[in-house]
Amino acid sequence: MVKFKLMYDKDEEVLSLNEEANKGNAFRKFFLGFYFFEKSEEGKYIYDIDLLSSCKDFANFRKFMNDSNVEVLNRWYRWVYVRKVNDSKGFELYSDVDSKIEHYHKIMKLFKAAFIIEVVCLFVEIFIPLINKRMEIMNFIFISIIAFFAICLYGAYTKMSAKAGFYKQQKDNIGLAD
Amino acid sequence: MSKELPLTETTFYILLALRHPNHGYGIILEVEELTGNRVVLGAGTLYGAINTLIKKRWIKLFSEDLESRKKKEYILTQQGKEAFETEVIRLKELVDISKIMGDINGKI
Repeated sequence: MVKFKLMYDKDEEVLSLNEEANKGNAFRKFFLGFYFFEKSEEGKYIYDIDLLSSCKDFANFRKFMNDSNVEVLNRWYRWVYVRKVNDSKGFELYSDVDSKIEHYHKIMKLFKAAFIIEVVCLFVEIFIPLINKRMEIMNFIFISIIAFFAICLYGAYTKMSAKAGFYKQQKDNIGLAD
Repeated sequence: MSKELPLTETTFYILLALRHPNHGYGIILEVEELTGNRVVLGAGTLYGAINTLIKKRWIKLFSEDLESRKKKEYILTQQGKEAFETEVIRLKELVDISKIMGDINGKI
């Protein structure tokens, strides 16, 4: 089975992969918004998604995860899809508040960089036709597409920022409890 | 060293589990066993923590067999052991001082 979906929130993505796994559709691969599934036992796997610090880190990451009984399925740029056989213990890559904050900060940085690139592209797309005094329908289409992605990225950035803030507050509350 | 303290619970247990050579999954299992399943380390948390501790030279690679599929093992360094001991002294001081509170509801 193949499904197409554009998702900017990795937690929603994980939720959706786990829902499919519970229906007996085990996720195998991601490519340009396409999710590839194969039939499996219902609820056999639990999924999670990580963001590598760098693509160069992938070999080390994969070895470490395999050593820890976590199956690495697919890498998409710095994003990595992993899963574990459901042994009723649950599965989450990040288990403490500090590493969760760090994880969301890493995602925020990526979205921020991508947003800045989109905004630069948007200005180029707007100003070049203006300088040339020739705005065609294709320019409008490109501008709309880039603006759409820029808005999505900004939304994703603020969402990740809220999540990092939530865990930061949790950490501060633990500090108070200490 | 003082800037590094107090240790997070995760770091504390990783250092403890590396008093002998241990691999990633071994650390996860040992920490689960030591804490009666209260602390279950996520593989991502552990991966990040191990890389940080290697950079700090608190732990080091013990063995890596590229030929076979043997798991990478890590072990505590002298520096790591000292950090752990300093933390235990700090925790012991807290526990000792807490005794002035008396035995609250017979729980301590």
